[in-house]
Amino acid sequence: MGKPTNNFWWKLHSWTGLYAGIVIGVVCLTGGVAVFIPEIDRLLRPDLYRVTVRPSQPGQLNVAIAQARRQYPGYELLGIDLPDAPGEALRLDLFKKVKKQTDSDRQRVFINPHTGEVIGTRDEMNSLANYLRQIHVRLYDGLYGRQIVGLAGIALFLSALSGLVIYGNFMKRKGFTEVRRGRGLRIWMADWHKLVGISALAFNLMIAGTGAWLGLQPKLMSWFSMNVPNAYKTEKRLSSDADRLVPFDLEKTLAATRRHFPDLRPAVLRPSSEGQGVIEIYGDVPTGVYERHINKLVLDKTDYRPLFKYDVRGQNGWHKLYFVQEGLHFGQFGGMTLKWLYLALGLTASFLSVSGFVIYLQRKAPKGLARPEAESAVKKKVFAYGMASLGVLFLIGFCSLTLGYVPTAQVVTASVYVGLAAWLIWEVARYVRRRRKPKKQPAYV
Amino acid sequence: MFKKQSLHPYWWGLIVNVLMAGVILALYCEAR
Repeated sequence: MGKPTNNFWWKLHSWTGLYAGIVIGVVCLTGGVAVFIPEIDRLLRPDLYRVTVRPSQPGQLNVAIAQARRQYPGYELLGIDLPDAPGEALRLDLFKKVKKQTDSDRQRVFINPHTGEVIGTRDEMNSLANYLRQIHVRLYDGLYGRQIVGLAGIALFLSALSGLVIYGNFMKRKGFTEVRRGRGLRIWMADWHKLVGISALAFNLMIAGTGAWLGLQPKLMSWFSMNVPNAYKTEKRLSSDADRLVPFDLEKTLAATRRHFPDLRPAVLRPSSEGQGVIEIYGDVPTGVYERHINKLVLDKTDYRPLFKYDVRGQNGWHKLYFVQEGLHFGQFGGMTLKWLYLALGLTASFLSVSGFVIYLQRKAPKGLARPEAESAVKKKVFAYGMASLGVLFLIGFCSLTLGYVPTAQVVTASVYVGLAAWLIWEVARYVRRRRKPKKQPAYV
Repeated sequence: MFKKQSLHPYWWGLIVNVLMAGVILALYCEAR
């Protein structure tokens, strides 16, 4: 371990774990739960999602959509989510900008596709599904939260990579599955840390790489003026008001989709409202591990003529690489079993974060302290950190569901940057204090 | 169990990771 190269990788592993470990642990825990957002949402709100299948009248759905929209004057129709399975409701995604981007109102109207009856509505921003998504994607920090999560992805990637490099040195005289008991908490935890870390290494590298890209993507794409590969741009052909008044026929749209893109399983329909005079149909094709709903057909709103078709299967490697990121990260390509596997593997990173913290604290324990006392102090500290993290997650969830997403996100955002500033000041003060003391040699695990 | 192994733990790690990727691939194929 004395070699300078190994020392570098060991230091990298130690530093990434120490400074990003808690964020990695939280993001991987929430990510494991986020895999199940659609299932959790449907389980908790069967009153909104489940409908009785009945013979439907032609055109009834168009009438129902028009009626539902009349109930929400001033709201824009962002999209229509088609049922995933028979017996499920159709959803209208309605949006109203109240004052500014952070102060918006998003309603979801649930409609029985067989009878056209409006089953209910929900404030989408304040739903549990939105909490589970936002806590994972941006930790409820509306400013740079997504980028912080992206940086945690880079940290996890570096941590996994450096762990792989230093693994060999720790395993010279050890069996792969050997977990030594009776030699203290640090050795026991370190053995589990190595076994779990190496077993889930490829998965964690994949999740970290795709997560880093997904987190940093919006800023990177805007800096480098990149367009989303399936973007379709057309000139404004009508006024916005005229565009919104063009009648929209769901059944004709679906019939035209079947005709022009038979392989597409439509999932979301988006009629234009800014004057383009089009309907965009997003959906999935049968093969490939790609982001959901990225295949696309654009129809003329008036005569249902196809204007643009995007089938990811026929695109070049860059398009496929772009869209495979979210597909791999979300794990929605292998049924429920794969989702459970994603949860289990996702939790390995949370476990590695906790076990790494235990090893670190045990290593840093005061030398004069007896082992049982030192171990007890470490356990208490890790338990306190764990409970505090879970407590904060529950508190944010509780506030978001009761007080609302917007005020909760505002408080969390302010707290993140006040906390970061305080931490930075504390670290600088600690650094200055340390420089006055003689340097200690690191003790390796 | 693997104390007197001929393979270095790196190789065992590689085998476990390849097996895991195989399971994920199998689940993908089954879902299609």
